[in-house]
Amino acid sequence: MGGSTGEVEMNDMDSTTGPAPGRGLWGDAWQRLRRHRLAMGCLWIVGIYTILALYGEGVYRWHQWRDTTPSYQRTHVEHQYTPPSFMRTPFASVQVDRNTGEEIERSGVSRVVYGLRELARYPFGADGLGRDVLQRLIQGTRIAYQVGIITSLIAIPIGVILGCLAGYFGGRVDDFIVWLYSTFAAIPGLLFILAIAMVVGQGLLGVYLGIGLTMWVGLCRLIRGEVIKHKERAYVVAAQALGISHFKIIFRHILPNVFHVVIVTFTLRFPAAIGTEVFLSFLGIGVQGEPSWGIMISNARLRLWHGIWWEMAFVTAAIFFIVLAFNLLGDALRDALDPRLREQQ
Amino acid sequence: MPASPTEQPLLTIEDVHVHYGVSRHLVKAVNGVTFDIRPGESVGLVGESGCGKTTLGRAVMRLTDIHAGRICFQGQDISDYSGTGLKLYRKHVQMVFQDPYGSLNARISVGKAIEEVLHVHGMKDRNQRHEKARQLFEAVGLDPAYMDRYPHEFSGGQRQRIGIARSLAVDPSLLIADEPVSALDVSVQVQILNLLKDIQQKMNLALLFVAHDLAVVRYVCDRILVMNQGKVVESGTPQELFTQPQHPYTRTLLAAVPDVEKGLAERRIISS
Repeated sequence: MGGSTGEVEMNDMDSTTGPAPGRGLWGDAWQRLRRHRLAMGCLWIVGIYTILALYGEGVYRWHQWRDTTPSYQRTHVEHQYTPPSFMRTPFASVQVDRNTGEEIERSGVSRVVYGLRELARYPFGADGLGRDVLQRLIQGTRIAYQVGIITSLIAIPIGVILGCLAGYFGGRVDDFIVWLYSTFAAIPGLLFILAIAMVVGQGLLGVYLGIGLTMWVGLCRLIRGEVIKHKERAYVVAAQALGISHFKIIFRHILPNVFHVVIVTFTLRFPAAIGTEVFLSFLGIGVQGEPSWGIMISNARLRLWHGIWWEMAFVTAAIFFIVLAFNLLGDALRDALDPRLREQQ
Repeated sequence: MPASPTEQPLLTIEDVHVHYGVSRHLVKAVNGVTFDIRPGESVGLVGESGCGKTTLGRAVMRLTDIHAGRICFQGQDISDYSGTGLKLYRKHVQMVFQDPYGSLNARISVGKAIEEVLHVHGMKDRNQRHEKARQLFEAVGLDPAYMDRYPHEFSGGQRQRIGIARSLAVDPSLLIADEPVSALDVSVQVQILNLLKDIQQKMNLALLFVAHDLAVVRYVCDRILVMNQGKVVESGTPQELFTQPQHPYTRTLLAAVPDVEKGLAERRIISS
């Protein structure tokens, strides 16, 4: 990276490409990430999930505002355990009418129209109460995103601020913060979350606090290590010599240089938080009355042995793909943002 | 521009000691150094690696604590300074660092880096800051059109120019240059030395030039101090030192200066 322009001095520089706008290190990292096909695929997957989560949020808000029972909560016992639409041969020429039970023969346009309509009805099947699995899956995505984002909003500021303070000031401050996170790290995570859920009561708040308050430890440790490394660097000493305040040095000079750690940690902790939420909801201390993925798995397992596989399969697939996408993306981001790899270029 | 000897010294260093490590492994990096610098004077501090010259520079900058002695700037002991006092002191005394690659923050564009210093030292108006940064860029021979660029887009020599511009932003009266050219190519070294010399004369700056290379110091400085094992062993004008070196250490240092005409065969290595 050092000699990108070579040892040219001003006269040479004037004759080169001219004053194009400078590209920062973030821009460089983005360019590197864009060349990474798998990472871009994962970014797309994450984007699709995000859109689904936003759509789910919209549906949820809409029904809350109208004060109606949302469609994903409405039960239709007569449709219970309807298999996914693609298994019901929606485009067959002879169809049984849902209401009368008569066989109706269709052809041409009417057959296609009926087929499409049939395809859109319970596309991922229905559960034991005749609720649409796809809609519940989307609501599950909404809950998963809420958990991922809110726990990150709790954990990242705590981890970053404490990590920066410990690393930069050292001494007593460092001792205290290391003691604090060691204490948190020593408590078994699940027991800690259970304890918090007991205190604040069942529901999402307990999940947020429980996961958020355990997740900052890893980040804090990483940031502390990075800041210790950076505070000896010449640019920090230079900033001190220039009379820039400690606060500005930490948050304007050092933090942007270690921020890649935060991004990578976020992409790796986000799916972990989702997994924890699923597990807690499965145990019954997480989400209440909302279709979380964990609750769906918990419900689906009851009838799995009777061949009702779709609810379980689609939820598991949804979790699998989001966790995979986030983890691969996290790895690619680490490669794209890691300054050591950049030096080697 | 040698100052008149009667003038009040700008910086006084009296019997300064800086130690590293603890009791049994104590390293006396600076072990009783005394000298002073007058306004507008350029003083060279020369010695081999580990002789304590960089530590002394850092001590003057208040980046390292001293364990004994006094460093006074304009008659005021600087070790008392903290907070605003220290900030004010750093408006008067600035430093150019050895490593042009590491001393600029890779995440901040070079123009912003200079404007930040101006902001910290009280220039609140953004346009004024921008204008001043442009002037500084021009003063060190860089095209202000490149102010939005990031450090990695510049060469070592250009980055050192940016480092100099940044340290000049506060209009200091004393500039400490800690091996400012040792990380650069020989061809670029001369350009940076010329720049420092020009600026020193134009702005009537006092310069404390720390280097291990006698030839470099001779080129820039009015007076040279030779340091060895934490002590100043000899001082004088470049003329005196080069023609009649008194101390044996100075002689070995002089012998180590590469001389193309002499050839490598006659060069001696400094023995400890």
